[in-house]
Amino acid sequence: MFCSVREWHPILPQGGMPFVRGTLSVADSISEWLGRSVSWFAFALILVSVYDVVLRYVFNKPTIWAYETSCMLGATIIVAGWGYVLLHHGHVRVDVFYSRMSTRKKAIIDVVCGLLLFFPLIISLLWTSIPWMVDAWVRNEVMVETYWYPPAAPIRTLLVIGLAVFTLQGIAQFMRDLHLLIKSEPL
Amino acid sequence: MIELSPEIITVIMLGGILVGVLLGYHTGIVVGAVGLAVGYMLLGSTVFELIYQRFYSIVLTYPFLAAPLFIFMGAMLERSGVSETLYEALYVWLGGLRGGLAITTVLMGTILAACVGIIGASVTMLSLVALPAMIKRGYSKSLACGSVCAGGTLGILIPPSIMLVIYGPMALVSVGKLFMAAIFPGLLLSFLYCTYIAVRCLLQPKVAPPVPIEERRISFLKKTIKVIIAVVPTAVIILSVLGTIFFGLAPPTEAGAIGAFAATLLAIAYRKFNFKTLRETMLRTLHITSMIMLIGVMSVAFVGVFMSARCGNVVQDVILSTPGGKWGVFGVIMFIIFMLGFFIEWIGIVFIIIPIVTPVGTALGFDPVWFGMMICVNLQMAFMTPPFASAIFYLRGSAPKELGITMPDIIKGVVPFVLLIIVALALCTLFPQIILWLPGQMIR
Repeated sequence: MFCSVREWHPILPQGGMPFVRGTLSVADSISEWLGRSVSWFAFALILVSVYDVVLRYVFNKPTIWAYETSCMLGATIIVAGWGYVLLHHGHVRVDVFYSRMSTRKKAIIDVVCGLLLFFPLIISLLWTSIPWMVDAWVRNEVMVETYWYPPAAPIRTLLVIGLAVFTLQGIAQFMRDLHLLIKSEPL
Repeated sequence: MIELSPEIITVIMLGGILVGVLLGYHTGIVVGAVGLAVGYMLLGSTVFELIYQRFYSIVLTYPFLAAPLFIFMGAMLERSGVSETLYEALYVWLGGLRGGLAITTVLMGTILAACVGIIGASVTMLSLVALPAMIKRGYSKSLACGSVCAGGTLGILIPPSIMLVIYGPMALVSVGKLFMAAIFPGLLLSFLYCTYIAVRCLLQPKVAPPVPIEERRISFLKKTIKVIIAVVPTAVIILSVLGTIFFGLAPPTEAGAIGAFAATLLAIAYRKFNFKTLRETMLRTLHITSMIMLIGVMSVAFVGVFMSARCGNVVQDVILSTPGGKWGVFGVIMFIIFMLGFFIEWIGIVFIIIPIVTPVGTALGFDPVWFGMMICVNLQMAFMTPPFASAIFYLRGSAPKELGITMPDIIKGVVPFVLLIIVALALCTLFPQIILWLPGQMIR
C-alpha cells in the first residue's frame, strides 16, 4: 500500500536454526545501514542545489558540477533505498484481497511471486548492471550530459551495490516466508 | 522468439499486470517481471539491456529530483507545528457557523496541500486533529470522514505536488506549467467542498451543530498574533517557491531545493529542529522516493517492451475507434483512468498509462497541460473510491479507535465529494480557462 510504514520488529534469537537467523539479521542490518547512510544524500542534494542557485543568481558564476552531482545523489537515494523499504514492508502492494488473507496465504503468494517475479527480475537486472560497471571502470566512461564529463563508474557501482542489497533483502524475506510456510511459525 | 500478433501481446501484458497486482505482490516487481517475461519471448536477451538502459536513464532523470526535495520540504514544514496553530485559529473563527468545523477541515486540507505534495501526510494530520474535534462536537460521522478524505486528497493536486512532478516528464510537459495549471482546479474543488458543506448543514442542521460560544471565547488578538507568527513564514516559503516557478526564475527542482532549505531554517527558528528530526525527515524522504521510483523504473521498462511490441498502437487504435468524435474518445480515456483508479494507485497509472494515452490526446488536438490536469483531477476520485482508496486507508490507519468509525460511514461520507469532483471536471471541460489561464500568464 502507498507508503504504509509498519513497525519493524527485529527478529529475536530464540533457539533453532541459529545460523539462518544470524544470516538474516546480517541482511537486515545491511539494508538498514545502507538506507540510513544514504538518507544523508537527501540533505546533500539540498545543499548542492542551494549552493548552485546562490552562485548562479548572486555571483553569476554557476557551477558545472551541480547538475550531474544532483542526478547521481538522487539515483543513489532511489536504488539504495529499495532494500531498506523492502525491510520495512514499505513497497506498494494493492492489498484489496491481500490484506484479508491469512498469514499463511500471504506467505504462499510471497514465496511463489518471489520465485517467479522478484528473483528473475532483480537478479537479471543486477547481472546486466555488473558488466556495465566493470566496463565503466576499464574504459573510463564519462557522463556526457554537461561539459563537466564526470566519470560514470562511481554511480554505476553504487547502482550495483543498491541492487545487490535489494537482492539480499529479497532473499532474507523469501527465507522468512518459506520458513513460515513449512514450519507454520515465524522465523 | 515467438511470433504473436500485437493484439494478443497487449492482452497478455495488461492481463498479467492485473492478475499479479491484484494478488497483492509488490506492484513494481509485478509490472517489471511481466515486461521482462514478455520482452524475453519477443526480443530474446536484448531485453536485459533494454531494461538496464531504461533503469539507468530513469534513476538519473533530473526533473524527478523535485520529488525528494518537495517531500523533504513538506516533512520539515509539518514539524514546525504550523498546522496545529492554524487549526486552533480556524476553529475559533469558524466554529460558530453550522458546519464550520467541516469547512475548517477542508480549508486546512487546502492549506496543508500547499505544504506537502503527498496525500498520506495531510489525511493523517486531519484524521488526528480535525476528525476527533468534529465527532466530539456531534458532527455526523459520514460528513466528518468525507471532509477529511476530500480535504486531505487535495494534497496531491495543489502544488507542490509529487504527482505533477512525475506526470511532467512522463507526458513531456513542463512541471512548472502543470503546477500553475493545478492551482485554480484545486481551489475550485476546495470551494465546491465548502459550499456543499455549508448548504447541507443549512438544510440538515443536525449533522453539524455549532461549537458552543464558551469554547470559542479566547482572546481574539492573542490568537491572531499567534497565528501570524506561525503562518506567515510558512506562507512566505510556499509563495516564494511557487513564485520562483511562475516567474521562470528557476525550474521546480531548484525551487524545491530552496524550499526544503528554507523549511529547515524555519524549523531551526521555531526550535523544533534537532538531529532526530533531521534523521526522520531524511529517512521519510528516502522511503517515499524509492518506493515511488521502484514502480517508476519498472513501469518505464514495461512500457519500453510494450511499445516495442507495437502494443501502444493497439491500445491507441482501440481508444480511437470509439464513436462520438474527439469528445467520445476523451470520455473513454477518462473512464478508463477512473476504472483503473479503483485498483491501481496513481503511481502505476501515471507511469504506465500516461505515456500510452498522451499521444492520443495530442493527436486529437487537446492542449497537453489541460489534458494532463483533467487526468490529475480525475485521479482525485481514485483516492476516495474503494476498494483501493489511499485516503480511506490513511484515515482508517490514523483515526483514533474510540471514535468508532466504520467503513459504511466513510463510504457514505465520500460519495458526495466524489460527485463534486465530477462537477469540477465538467466545469473544467466547459471552461478550460480555469486550468489554462494561469500557466498562460507565466513568463516562460
